Amino acid sequence: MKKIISTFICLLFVITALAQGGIYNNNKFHQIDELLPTPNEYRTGSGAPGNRYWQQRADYVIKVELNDDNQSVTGSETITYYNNSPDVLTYLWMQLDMNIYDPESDANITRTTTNVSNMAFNAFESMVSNRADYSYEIRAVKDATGKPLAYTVNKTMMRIELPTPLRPGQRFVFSVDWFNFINNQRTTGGRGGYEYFPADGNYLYEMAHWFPRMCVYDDVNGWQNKQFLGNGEFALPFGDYKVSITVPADHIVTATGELVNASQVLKPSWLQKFNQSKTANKPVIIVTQEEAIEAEKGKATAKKTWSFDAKNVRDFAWASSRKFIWDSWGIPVAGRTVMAMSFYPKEGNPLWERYSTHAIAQTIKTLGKFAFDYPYPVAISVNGPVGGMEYPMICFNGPRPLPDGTYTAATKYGLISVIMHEVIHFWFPMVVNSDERQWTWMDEGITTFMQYLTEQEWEETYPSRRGEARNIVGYMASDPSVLEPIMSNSELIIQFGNNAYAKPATAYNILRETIMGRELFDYAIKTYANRWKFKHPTPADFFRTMEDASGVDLDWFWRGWFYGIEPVDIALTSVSHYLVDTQNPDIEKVARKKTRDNEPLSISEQRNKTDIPTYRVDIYPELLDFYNEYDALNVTENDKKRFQEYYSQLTANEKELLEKGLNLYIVDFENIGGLIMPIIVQMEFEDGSKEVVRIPAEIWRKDNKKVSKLFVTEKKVKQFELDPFQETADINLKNNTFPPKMMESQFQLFKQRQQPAQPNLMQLQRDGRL
Amino acid sequence: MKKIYILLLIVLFPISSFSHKFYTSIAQVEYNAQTKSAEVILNLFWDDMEVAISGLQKENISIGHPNFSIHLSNYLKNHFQLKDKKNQVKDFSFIGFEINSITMTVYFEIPAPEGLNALELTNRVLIREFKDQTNIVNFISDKGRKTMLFQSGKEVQKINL
Repeated sequence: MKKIISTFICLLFVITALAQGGIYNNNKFHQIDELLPTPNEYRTGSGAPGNRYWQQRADYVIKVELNDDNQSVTGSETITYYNNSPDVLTYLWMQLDMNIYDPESDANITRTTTNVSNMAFNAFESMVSNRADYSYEIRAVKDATGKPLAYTVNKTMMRIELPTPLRPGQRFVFSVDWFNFINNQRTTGGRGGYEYFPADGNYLYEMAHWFPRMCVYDDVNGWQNKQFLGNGEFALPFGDYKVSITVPADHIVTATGELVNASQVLKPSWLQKFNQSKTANKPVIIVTQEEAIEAEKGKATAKKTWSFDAKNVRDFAWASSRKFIWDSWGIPVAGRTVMAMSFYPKEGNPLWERYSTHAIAQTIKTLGKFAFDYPYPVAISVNGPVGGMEYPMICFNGPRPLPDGTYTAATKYGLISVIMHEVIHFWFPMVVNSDERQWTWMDEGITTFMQYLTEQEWEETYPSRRGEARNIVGYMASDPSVLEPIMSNSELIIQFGNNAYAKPATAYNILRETIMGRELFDYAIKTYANRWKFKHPTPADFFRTMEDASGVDLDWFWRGWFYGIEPVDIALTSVSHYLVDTQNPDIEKVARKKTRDNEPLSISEQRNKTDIPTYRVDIYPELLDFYNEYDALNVTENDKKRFQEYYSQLTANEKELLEKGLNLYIVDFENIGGLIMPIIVQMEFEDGSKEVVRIPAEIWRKDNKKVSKLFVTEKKVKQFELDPFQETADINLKNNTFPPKMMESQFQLFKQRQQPAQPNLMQLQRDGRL
Repeated sequence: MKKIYILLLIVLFPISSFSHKFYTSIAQVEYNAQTKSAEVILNLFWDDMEVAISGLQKENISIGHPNFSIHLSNYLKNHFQLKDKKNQVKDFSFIGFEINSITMTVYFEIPAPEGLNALELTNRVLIREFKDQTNIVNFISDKGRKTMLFQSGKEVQKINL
């Protein structure tokens, strides 16, 4: 008994020591197992869905009517909720996102703003323009027989009590009726709302998170019912939607899904042009600008109902206005025809008719290559008040030309880029359905990265903003007080754009170009997209798939880039040059003698030469003896004999190696920033030729701080340069060269260029001033 | 602890805007010991700057407008300021700007013979126009990285390198 107790005490002691971190492995290459959830039957260690993977499903039938006179909607939805989980559910959770516009919402009430002394109207307005009646008035929650269901609203979430527990494999049908006024997007901001055009008195509606939506229930979160605070977007289950939208008869409506009653709502000429556009070789205008301008002048009192069907989507958005111009173009995708379409008011032209649908078409092409074929029948871009926001099959994009119809190059590329970005979201997260409420980076990082790939296929010199490693340096160089890891919840990020968009996008670019290579990376990311399409991936599923499919251990990379905030700053600190000792006295001794004789004289020696006219030994030469004549560096017969003996024992190979005259350089590197990166070294030789050596990051695996590397060259190196193509996001280039090279700062380079301002060249050309 | 009650008037100015999902700028400040001035490279969304300048000028000033540079220079003079210990605003020298897709990079310098330490930096760039604006200022010096974060209510801070 005693013995057992003492063993127990010993064991306790060991556990305490462990807990204190005494033997915790701080090597940056140790596996990230303790950071990731344990694999199970739902989600495997390979990163693929497990053999018992499940997800819930919600089908919607929705009827909604838009009131254009007071900008409100009245809606009624019937939801069929399928419990595919192995769990018994006693309640359901729904999202009431419109409640964020309530002045009492968490988003508004927890906003910390203190300085209001001098501010723009719109900033002020956006603080005071939220209205309680923008949030939902829930008019009824009923079961399939019409019996009221008990429910509780918790700010932007609503819990519905199930009359009887919902068992695995069962479904539950219920309905919700609601009413709300639509927010004025120009004052409240946000991801949907209306825009008013004072010049013609018309409204344009972009309707997003406009109906009570089911929360996700999954194996990771249970119910994902985290409050909507504004940054973390949406987590939604898949399902089929049948939506009927009643609007003034002169409105044009576009939405997630296919229009199923075209013959009832479209003029015959529009329908005919729409059908033509399916096989056209460029976009076809269905509703012309002239027709749209004509429609602006009237206000229909009659109504029309537009019906849309959408299969296997995670959300549904729509837009409506009598101002819409509409163009359409059929894009062949794997034997199907996908209709790429754009809807915009005349204020968007001439930019929109020229670029929007083409930008959609290019995205469908590029993503088909890097992810999977676009699975839905339509892909739509709408111009309205929202700057850039995505929903399944439809996105809202803001840029417009100036009122005179001219635009700068920046506006043009800004528009093309934002459309590409939002259309890529049709894949991520609309199909590869990650949890945006928790992890913004999961869809924004991959979308921003693929936006770069898509832009680069538009034209050779496309001015891409994000992707190149050097563009992230400004952010990564910040001190830790304003940084947080990519693996941070969407609501906790100070620098949202840099943290959740640019940093992961840059990480993927570095993986592709520098760490994995294009072939391995493209295969792995495509595997991730295909494994998780129409499913709900988590970060661990992504990290694991990227490694599993490529055979590259990236744990160190995820730890550094996704769980850490350290930057890359690798320094090339010193270089030692060695030459092979041929042991041939005629070469080595002669060379050493030359080196010695060429050594500069000290200042005393120089002055003594003139200050001492005669030495004593000059006056008494008998003082000179053997030692005065002997020079250890003179080649003796013995030296030669010894060398001949040594040389005759060498093999032919050894002789060749000895006589090659190789240069050996030992180069020391220091990891100052902390983030691990491969070492890319360019050697410029004395004859001007260059060689680049790429050393994988694993060189740091036994010492994360300092490493030395031997380079053997035939030619003498004139200049060593670390990361010559700036592909590692090294924040300090000044310590990257040996011998140290003077570096012009970005500031000085710009100053010397004396860049002229960026004029509106279209305007200058029009006015003959170009 | 005395509670303080202050009554002030709010001055409002009009602008109209598109919205995107985040509002941010990032500046790099490096002290050039030879010219004894702070060299500033400021990155921000150019559409937000168009909105801010158009609001102040009460007319549509796009980045292609012939006077955009002048307005931009004036705007930054008032919104990105260094003050010396006597509370004097330091001179501001605008160099120029360039556009990179959806962002712009602005270059300007502020002479400061006494060095940057202990000076007061005001950065209210776009803060009064957009309630969610956050501005990061990174100082580059031999002593390591130093970052200051500016947002509404935190627009003036002392530099401590």
